[in-house]
Amino acid sequence: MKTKFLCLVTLLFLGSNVGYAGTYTDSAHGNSTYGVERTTTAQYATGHCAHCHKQHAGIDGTESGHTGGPDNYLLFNTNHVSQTDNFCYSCHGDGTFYTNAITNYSYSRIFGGDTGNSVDDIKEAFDLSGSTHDLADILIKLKTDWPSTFNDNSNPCSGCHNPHLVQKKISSNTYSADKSALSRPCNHDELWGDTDGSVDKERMDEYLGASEYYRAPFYVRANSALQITTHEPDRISRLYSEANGFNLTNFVAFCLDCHSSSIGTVKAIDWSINGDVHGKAFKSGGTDNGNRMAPYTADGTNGTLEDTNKNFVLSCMDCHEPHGSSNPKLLRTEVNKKTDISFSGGQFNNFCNGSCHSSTHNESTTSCAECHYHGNNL
Amino acid sequence: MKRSLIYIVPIIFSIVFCSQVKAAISGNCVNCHTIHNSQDGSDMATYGGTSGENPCLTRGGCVGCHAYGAGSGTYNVENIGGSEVPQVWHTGTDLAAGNFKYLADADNRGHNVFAINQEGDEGGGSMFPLPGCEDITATNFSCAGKYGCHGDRNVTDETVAMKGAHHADDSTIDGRTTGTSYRFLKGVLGLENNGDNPWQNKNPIDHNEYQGLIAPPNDASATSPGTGGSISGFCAECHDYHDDWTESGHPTDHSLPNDDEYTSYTTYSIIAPVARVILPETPSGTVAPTGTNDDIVMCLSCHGAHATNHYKLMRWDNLNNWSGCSVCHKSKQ
Repeated sequence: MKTKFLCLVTLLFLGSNVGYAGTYTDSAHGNSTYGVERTTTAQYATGHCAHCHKQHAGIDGTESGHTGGPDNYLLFNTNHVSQTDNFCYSCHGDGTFYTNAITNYSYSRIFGGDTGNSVDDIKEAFDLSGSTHDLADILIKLKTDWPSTFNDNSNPCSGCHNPHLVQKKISSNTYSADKSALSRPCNHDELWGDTDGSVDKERMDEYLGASEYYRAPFYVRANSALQITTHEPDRISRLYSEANGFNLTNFVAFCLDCHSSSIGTVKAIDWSINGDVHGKAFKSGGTDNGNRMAPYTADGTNGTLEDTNKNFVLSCMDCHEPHGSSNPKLLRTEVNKKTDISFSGGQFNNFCNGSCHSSTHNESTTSCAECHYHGNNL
Repeated sequence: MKRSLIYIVPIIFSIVFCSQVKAAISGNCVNCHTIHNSQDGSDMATYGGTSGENPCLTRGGCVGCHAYGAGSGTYNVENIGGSEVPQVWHTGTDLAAGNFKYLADADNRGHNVFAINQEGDEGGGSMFPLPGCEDITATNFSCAGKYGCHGDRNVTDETVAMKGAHHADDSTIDGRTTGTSYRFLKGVLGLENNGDNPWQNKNPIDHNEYQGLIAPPNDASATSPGTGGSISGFCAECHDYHDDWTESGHPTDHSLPNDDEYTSYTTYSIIAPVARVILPETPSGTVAPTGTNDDIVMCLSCHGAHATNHYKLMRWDNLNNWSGCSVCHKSKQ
């Protein structure tokens, strides 16, 4: 009898430790070395919950951030107010709450190498005059499409990022394909892009079908005359054909969670074989049809002509910034090692020409985007 | 007849035994009281130092008996003349409420009761001034009474505030009197651990059980924990959450939701314990997060009552980890 009793008690103890091993502590916020650390909560370990969440209104009679007690989810600052007033900006913006300054460069700079892009925090990115992801619209979309996950009190940033899971993609200049800062809005409690070979096809190469190719754009310091040179996103020199998206998050699936249907004036994106030519729809190219530049050439260098037989499929991030850009339509300031891309209005020629296309057909009279836009299979 | 006795005698013994454990303090009067404070020419009121005549003719104040060695005692339960007396300030293993010895390390480790923490100074590292209870100061903060926690908080003198409590039949904890309240916290309900390790939270099946509520009426006042007698309502008597203590920060008197990470809290944790809406008859080792009865977050889920080895009476070391947080928030391990 005693033996049985001891076994039962032992099982009770064992049962208490099931699951959830190392998710938050594996995150950037929960890291015990570089995780969250608010200036006014030095009594807590780096990465501790209390750096973002208030258990009580104040500590030792003082209260930092949101006054009158914590905000929703016990956050120490107001969760979300506007495009320029968001809890996350307390550290990822111009707030003064963090112990160690946090730099978040643009996609063009981090993964493309555009050091001329001066955006260095998330609030700045969301406040650029060119174009930004509208946080209010994002929240509406989240509440509408995933009401069991998001509500009026949700932070729109959480549509793409789970703060308790989010990881550093690049640390000490080292890119980690098996880490991810993203969670799909349709699956908020899982990271997206960190797992190679998953049934969900989290990597770009897995998104592709037969006879579909992804070729990573050049990193800004790549030598386009060489077959082996640096590509996005990891800046590592490798053969052009091996820069096939094996280490890139499947951004198409990620973005299409929201953008597969129209959102206000934003058109629905169809990246299927019946949709856009930058997606899976095939377009042979050719001199009068864009004349694709390296690495979309026969040997991946600028020494050969474009490979008109291959159906190249782009990743959304090859062209777009996720948060905001000084250019319209969230378009990057650097694409395929072309830097200083700057334009306004509908003058997309500076964006397309010299980055991925060398053809100048109709350029003198027409903007590329008048014909080549999402939803028009040209 | 013999067969009948076989059944009857154990029953009588068990009744007598149980009443000794659960009811009033036992032992000779002189263990605690002195009539003249004199015996053979010597003072008798000497517990905790010579104190002269005390209210209720006791041989010492609260600390005199419950910190028998003035902090240097070895045991967490002292046997004083045959009476088992729990110790709140000693060098041994902590009781469920903690141990006031930690105040020697830092004032912010515990409730700075004047009789124990005499170096405490207002505005310093100690707990004063106390928001919502400014009349409690570093020099009047007591174990019991108006300026303390135990006993009748309408009575100023801490000994008088406890009058009769130790002699009350507390076999039923109903919160109606100090003596029949959980740990003499007037109005509070709970199941006192009277097993092999009395006054301790020893392990998941050997611990106190605390009264919790769901949808509390938030009617705690400066002298009452409010309807339902929850332990969190009692804390609210002083901690300025009289009106709505459940909404002023981390939820208390709130059931663990029956979803996500909380459903993994199935074994009672003495690191981050939960309260019960319906108290079990004996300490229970199981928790069923259902959003209903037996999984109630309380102030004591995170904090000790007297003092702990950690900042702000926390049950775990926040400076180095958040292991206690992740007892409930499993996905944050």
